Order: sequence, then structure tokens, then C-alpha cells
Amino acid sequence: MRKTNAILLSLFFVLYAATFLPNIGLFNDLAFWGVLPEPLAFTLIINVINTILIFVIYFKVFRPFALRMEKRITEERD
Amino acid sequence: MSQAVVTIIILAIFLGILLIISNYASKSNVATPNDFYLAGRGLGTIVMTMTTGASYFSTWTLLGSIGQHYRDGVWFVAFAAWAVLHALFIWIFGARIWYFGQKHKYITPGDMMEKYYRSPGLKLLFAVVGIIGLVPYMLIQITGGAQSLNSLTAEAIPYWVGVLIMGLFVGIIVFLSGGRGAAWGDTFMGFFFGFVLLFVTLTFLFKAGGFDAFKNIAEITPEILTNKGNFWGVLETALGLAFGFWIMPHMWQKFYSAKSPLILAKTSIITPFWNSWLMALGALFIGILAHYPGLVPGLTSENSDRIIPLFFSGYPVIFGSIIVAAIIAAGISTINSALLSSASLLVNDIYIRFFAKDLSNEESTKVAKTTIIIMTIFTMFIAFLPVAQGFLIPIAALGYGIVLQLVPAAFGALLWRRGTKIGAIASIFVGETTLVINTLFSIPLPFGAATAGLLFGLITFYIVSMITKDAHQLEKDAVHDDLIEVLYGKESQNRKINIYEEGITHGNEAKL
Repeated sequence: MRKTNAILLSLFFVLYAATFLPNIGLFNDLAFWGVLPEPLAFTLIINVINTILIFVIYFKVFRPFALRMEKRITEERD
Repeated sequence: MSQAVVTIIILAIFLGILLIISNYASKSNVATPNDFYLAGRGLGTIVMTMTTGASYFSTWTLLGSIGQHYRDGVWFVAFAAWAVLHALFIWIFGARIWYFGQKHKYITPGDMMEKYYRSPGLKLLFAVVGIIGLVPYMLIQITGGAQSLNSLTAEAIPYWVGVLIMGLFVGIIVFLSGGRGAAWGDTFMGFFFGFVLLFVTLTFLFKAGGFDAFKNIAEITPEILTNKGNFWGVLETALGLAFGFWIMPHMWQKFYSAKSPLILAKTSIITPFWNSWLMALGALFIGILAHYPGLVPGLTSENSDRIIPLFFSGYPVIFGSIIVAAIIAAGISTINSALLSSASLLVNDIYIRFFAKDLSNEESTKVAKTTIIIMTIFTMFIAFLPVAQGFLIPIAALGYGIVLQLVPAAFGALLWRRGTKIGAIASIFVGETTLVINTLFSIPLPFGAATAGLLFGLITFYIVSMITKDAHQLEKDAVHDDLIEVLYGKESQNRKINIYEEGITHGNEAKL
């Protein structure tokens, strides 16, 4: 599970780092991707992917941890 | 009916509802620090999501960040990106903070630092830095709310009256209802200003041309639709405001307040929608679309921190009054948690820890309430000074920058077992010194003062930790082994000492 966690976090941070690309001139033209200007559209597409990743992290690691903790707390309480 | 009268009526209704909620919440209160500061560690998913969101998003979101988008355009879309990061931070840091907090019944971040590093000095450092950082943060809520109140009513409600309304009212509700009232009030206020922001965003979008809104802006001010560069500038802001989501003391304590880790987990999946897709993007759309000709009367770069109040100044007074109430809500929902947190640092980490260890639960709650009144008066006094009334972002960034220097030391307790006490203390001193020197002397570095401080602090933490060793390293190893087991379901291999069996060293357990 630690490996899965590390992969998911790495992926998230790589994508997050990519949102800075328009700051160095990449994906930064005054062209339109649909109704949005390129740098905005580019960042928001990454935002969508990272939002999905948050759900993956929830199901793969966060929720299992939470359920394990709840079980442990219940056992300790009993 | 004049704008001022309608605004006062709307505000009175809004504040009345808040007072009723706070009063209702106070009926469940028990006179213990655990209950007063942390709502008895019993917050559910909706309240947790709204109180973390409402405490983080403030008058700055509805005023300063919109102005920033107006001035800098899509460059500031970084705001939406780092707001998604908040959800991940709930997992990386929030889960750990919750676990240790639950295990040892910590009240403040300093409690954890003292226990982990075996250092009362670190507890004191965390408290002092936290208080110094929270004061400008609280200040921005008061000045922002008072300025918009003044602006929207065409100066009929003077700035000083706005300061009194913001300051006194927050002091009263926090005094009355503590953490539970703050959380419940945040839920009401968060929904209120969230929906107002959504309404304003859709209004701007519709008026600027709907789906063609950005194409219309491209014909008027094309320069704001491309990123202006300034990588280090945006990194500075992103670091401060992303890490601020968990390192600011009032946010850290929110994680202690969750009823269970499942609540935190659910909060993490709602957070991107609230923090990024609504609050940050709403601010972006409003700020950029405000360039549409004639949309916001009298708008200039200088008054761009007040776009929403200016926009509604040309509409029926009721709309403008609701907007003011929303801005006041955004401010109050942040300042209440910050006020409560600063009082907990002062009372729990300094007064009780070093001067009055034998205080009973009832006595410490009384001291906490008295401290809240003193802090309220102190912050209101500063709000009257001219230095507190400039552009909003630099003031808020100063608070974030100060607290950001605590990150390396917190990394040690939460993530990196090799970090030592001396390394943690050194990192804070180096970070804060770098921040102060850079701010005072404007040293020409590519990045800002807060980032420079954090960078030097991290380097210091690493180097000093590698050349020093804590006498209780085995206990720290056990803490991290236990954490790994809990987080990932693995049995740790090298457990030698279970420090939890020792109990905590400074008496918080006795105060529950």
C-alpha cells in the first residue's frame, strides 16, 4: 500500500508541477481551447485530473486507513 | 430607503442568525479546553468541510484574490491548482495530525512538538510564532470587512464602525460558544458566502458574454489571458497559501476536531470542489471578467480589491447589502477560528504550561475566554493603525510567511524520523531570520522572503539533523513505525518502545 501511495502522490505532484509550465512560456499562447484561453484551459485540465486522483487516493489509501483506525478505536474502547 | 439603512438591517438579520447558532451551540459546551477549543473532537463531515473551507477562505477570497486576478489575469490561476492540493494535504498531514491528536489528546500544534521532540522550548516557539502569524491574518478580516462596508455605503458607515462591528461581534460569539459555535457558525457562513460567490460568478459570466466571455476579454485586454511569467512570485504565494492550509495553527486544530478519520477522508474528496472549483475559480472568473467594459463602474487597478462591492453599487440596495453580509461572513468565519486558536496558544502553550500547571478545567476555560476578549481588543486596536489598511494580500502573506517557517520542524514530527530537536529549533530561527532580513532590506533574490526563509529553514533542518542526534531517537522511531502501521496496515519490524504507554508529559490528559 505504501508503494501505491507513493506512486499516486508522485503522479499528483508531477501534474501539479506541470501547472507552472505556462509561467515559463509553455502552453501560454493567446489561443483558445474551446471557450478558454490556452494557459487557463491547460491548468484546469490538470486540475480535473488531480481532482480524479484525489478520489483514487481516497479509495486506495485514505478510506482503508480510516476504516482500520475506526476498527482499532472500537477495539480499544471495548 | 438608503443603502446604509438597508445594509444595517441585513447585517443585523445575518448577525442575529449567527448569534442564535452560537447560542444554541454553547448549550452543548462543557467547560474543558478539549471542548472549548476543539468542539469536543466531534465534528462531522459537512461541518468539518465547511469549517476548514470557511476558516481558510476569508475576506481575501472575496476581495483580495479577485483584485489579484483583475491585475494579473490567468497568472493567478495557480490559486485553483493549489486549492486542489489542500485535499491531498488532508491525507498527507491531516490524517497524521488527527491520529496523534486523538492518541495524546493534543490541543495545539505545540503539544505535539513538545511531546515528539521532548522540548518545551519548541512548544513555546510554535506558540509565539503562531500568535505572531495569526495577528495579521485576523487583521485582514477586520480591515477587509470594514473597508467594504465603508465602500458600499458610500462612506455612510465609517471605517471605525466597521472595525467595531467585525471585532466586537466575533469576540462575543467566540467568547460565548468556543470551537463548537465557531464550527457551526462557519457552516452557515460558508454556505452563505459560497452561494453568493457562485451567484456573482454566474452574473459576471452572463453579463460578459456567456460562453464567449473570455473571447470578448481577449479583444479588450489580451495581456491578462496569457501568463505573465514571474514563476518565483507565484511559487511564493502558492507555497504560503498551500502549506498554510495545514500549518496555520487554526487549520491544524481543525484536524484535531474531526470525529473520526473517515470524516477527514470524506472531507478530502469534497474539498477540491469547494476550495478549487467554486472558491478559487469563482474568484478567477470574477476578477478577469471585471475587465469587460462597463461591467464594474469606477473600477481601477487601485480599487480592484473591492470589485464585488463596486459592481453592486449600481444595483438595488438589497443586493449590495447581501454582498456586504457575505464579505463580513467570510471574515468572521476566519477570524473566529484564528481568535480561538491564538487564545489556545497563549493559554495552553504559554500560561498553563509554564505558569499555572495546576489550573482546573473550569479555570482554564475562564482564562481562555478572558484571553479572547483581550486578543479581540488588541487586534481591533491594530486595525485602526494606517499600516493595517493597505492592499490586502501583502498583509495576509506576512502572516502566512511567518507561520510557514514552522513547516520543517513539523515535517520531522509527521514525516521524517531523522529530524532532531536541534535541527527543528535551528530551522525555525534560520527561517524567521531570513524572512525578517529579506523583508526589511529587500534583498534581490529571485524568490520572496517567505520562500527564502522556508528554503533556508529546510536546508538547516536537514544539515543540523544529520550532524546531531536526539537521545530519544528510539522512541521517535517507534512513533513513526506505529504511524506507518496505522496508515498502511503494515506491522512495523523494529518496534522497541511504545511511547504511548508512557503517557504525556505535561498534563493535558488530566484536563480532558
